[in-house]
Amino acid sequence: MKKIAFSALALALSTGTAMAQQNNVGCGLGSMVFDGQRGVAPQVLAATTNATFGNQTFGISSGTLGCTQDGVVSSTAKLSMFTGSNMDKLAADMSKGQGETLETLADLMGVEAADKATFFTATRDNFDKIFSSSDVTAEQVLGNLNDVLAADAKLSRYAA
Amino acid sequence: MRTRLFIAFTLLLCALPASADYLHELQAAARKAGLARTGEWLALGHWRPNLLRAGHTSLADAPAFFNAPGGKTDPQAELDATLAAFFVQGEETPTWQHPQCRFIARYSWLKERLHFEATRLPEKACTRFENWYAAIAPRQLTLVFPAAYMNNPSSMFGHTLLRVDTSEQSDGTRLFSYALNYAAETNDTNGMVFAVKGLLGGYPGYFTITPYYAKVKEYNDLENRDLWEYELAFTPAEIRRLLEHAWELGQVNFDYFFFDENCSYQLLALLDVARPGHHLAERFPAWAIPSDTVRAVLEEEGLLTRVQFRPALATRIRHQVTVLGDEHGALARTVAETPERSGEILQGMASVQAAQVLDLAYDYLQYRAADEDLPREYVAPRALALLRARSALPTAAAPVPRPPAVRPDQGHGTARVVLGTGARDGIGFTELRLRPAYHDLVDPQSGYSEGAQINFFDIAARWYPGENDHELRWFRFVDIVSLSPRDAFFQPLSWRFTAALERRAIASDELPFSISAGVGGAWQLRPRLLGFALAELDILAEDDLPDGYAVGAGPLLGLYATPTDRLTLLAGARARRYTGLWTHEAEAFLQAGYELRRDLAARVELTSTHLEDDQLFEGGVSLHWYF
Repeated sequence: MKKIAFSALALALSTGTAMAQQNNVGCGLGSMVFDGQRGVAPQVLAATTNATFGNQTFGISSGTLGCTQDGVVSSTAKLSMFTGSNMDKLAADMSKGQGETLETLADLMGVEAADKATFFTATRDNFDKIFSSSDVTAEQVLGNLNDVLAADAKLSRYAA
Repeated sequence: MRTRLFIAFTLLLCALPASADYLHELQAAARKAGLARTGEWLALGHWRPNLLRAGHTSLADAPAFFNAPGGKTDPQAELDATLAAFFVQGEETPTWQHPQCRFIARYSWLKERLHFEATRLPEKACTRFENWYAAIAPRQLTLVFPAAYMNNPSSMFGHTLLRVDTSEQSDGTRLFSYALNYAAETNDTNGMVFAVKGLLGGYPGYFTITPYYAKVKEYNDLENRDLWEYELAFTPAEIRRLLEHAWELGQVNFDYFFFDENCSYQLLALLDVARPGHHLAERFPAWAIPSDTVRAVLEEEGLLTRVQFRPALATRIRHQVTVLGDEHGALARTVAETPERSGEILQGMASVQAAQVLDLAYDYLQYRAADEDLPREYVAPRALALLRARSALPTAAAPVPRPPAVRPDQGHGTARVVLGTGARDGIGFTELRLRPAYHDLVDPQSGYSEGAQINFFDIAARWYPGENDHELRWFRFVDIVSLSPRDAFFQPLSWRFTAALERRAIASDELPFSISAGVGGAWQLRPRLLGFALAELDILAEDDLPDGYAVGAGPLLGLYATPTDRLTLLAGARARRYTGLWTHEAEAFLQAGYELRRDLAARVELTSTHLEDDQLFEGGVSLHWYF
């Protein structure tokens, strides 16, 4: 009844254009979430749905698990985890050259305020290169983005 | 070498009695100051006064949360044992925390109150906590309230979580912060098991800390719930205290109860630790409805600094359709289906408009993917084709919906007392109704999701002064209605469900147990006017019925309107034929509610019932007070 929404989540990760292969990005979003419970019967039966399925990835003071330490994402995994968890929105923002998810990515990559407009436009102009296929992984997206930045005179300093 | 060992050994011997002395000194000072009885200490241990006998019991259910064997019921013993634990030898390792770190909020508070002398109680380094704290880099607390989701009135009960805004984040990068969330942990997928166990506290509840973007995805995109973000003015010291306490709670479980010890209640308990003297949690002894807890938090003068609205995916789609118009909306649906034809379909259109059509098409595809569980092979290639076409067009911001004029916390209180008078079949009555929660269709609409009703334990009693008689009119355990309009983009079902003991004309005005349900559709006939049609089933159980039960079925047609912000109208007609009785019942009703003040409304209710050849008329006026 309550669909375990891992499939929905995986789909949401993927529908943007790419499946965020958890192993590929190193750190997947380990948390399973509840499905929207759109059916009639589950709603009557379950008055509230504030439950998560057994998973302590984001457990506070839980020690080191995957790419989290005591529940917070380790600094090395921040970028890949954000990208892997937000592929569909990131793709949409890049295609427009604007948006909150793209803005956050720019911050995570350390793009300075003065360069943001250039960065945003570059992602739109090179959208085909960054999201090269509908099977692209988060790791590939970041790699492709890196190539785009490296080739841009103004943005090359943000390339790894 | 031997001398050194000897010295070390004597030092150790000496250290023990000295620290024991200091421990006793601290314990005595704590007793003298009555620390174990203070609100701060009781909040830190989540102790609540016992209902019937003297003393306290903690809501925490993990033995590891207590240092004293009887700590769950003995705040004083726990305080003594906690102080003793602070003297434990040893340094933090990746798998072991010193009690000073494990109970860091208690340590900070006791240190401040008892003025620990570092020479006599050496302070330990809490590297894991400090790293965690530095990674979160807290600056501000934001209370986040996901509003009800489309076609799911039970979600009106809602949820609350706490966002810890980081000092690195700007307005544009709020996704980046962390959310403190309290939720039941379960692997049960059976809805019935889930509901019953949840009501009885059968699941452990845990606090977790999750990147906020994961929560936005969960609520905004998958569940289609608008998010309200209430930024709160807590001081840096209060925020530090809250996070220290969250750290203590990390591995601690509580029994999760849907109604009382739920997410919202636990967040209040956390805020009580941040700002002692608030006693927010105490105000919800019986049940904690998330929107009520939001109201309680915001009551504090000057605490709310700003409110942000984050519209859900479905809300954004509806808004884009409104801006673009039906014709372009239809194009967007076609383009979402066949993006390879987008060039031809959008040919000749101004590029700003073409961009908006593509944006809508993409959002709609995302919505369908989650809603219909569409396979990835269907969605991914279409999504990519849409975005490729989009990237060739100039940037234009997609139209963003404005927040509703009235916020959820500004809506009426969820408990209701009704005093009314009227006549049934010519006999006058006075009526009193009580409803602990939550909202019905005719209640003032501001701040609530339109077309959603959920009532719990609505009870009505009547006095007939002329007859010198009184009766229980109904006891509706649960009464849910969901009217969601169908259109070209969304095709939700509308439905209702009621379980009640209720006097019914069809059962000779006896008090049968009834389960009544309906399913159908609703349509937006005009702005502020919904029409709906449901097929209903009505099951009655009562000893005086011919077989002890009766089953009725038939249609319900109705209109629901909010002509002004204060006025709500509900009208309908239904007919049902009953097996077992082989008779039928027809009913027409009209209800009008008018909001006088935020927490006061007037209502007129008229019902005409036809039973075979009998006709029965009932009318009444009433005052509804919300709190």
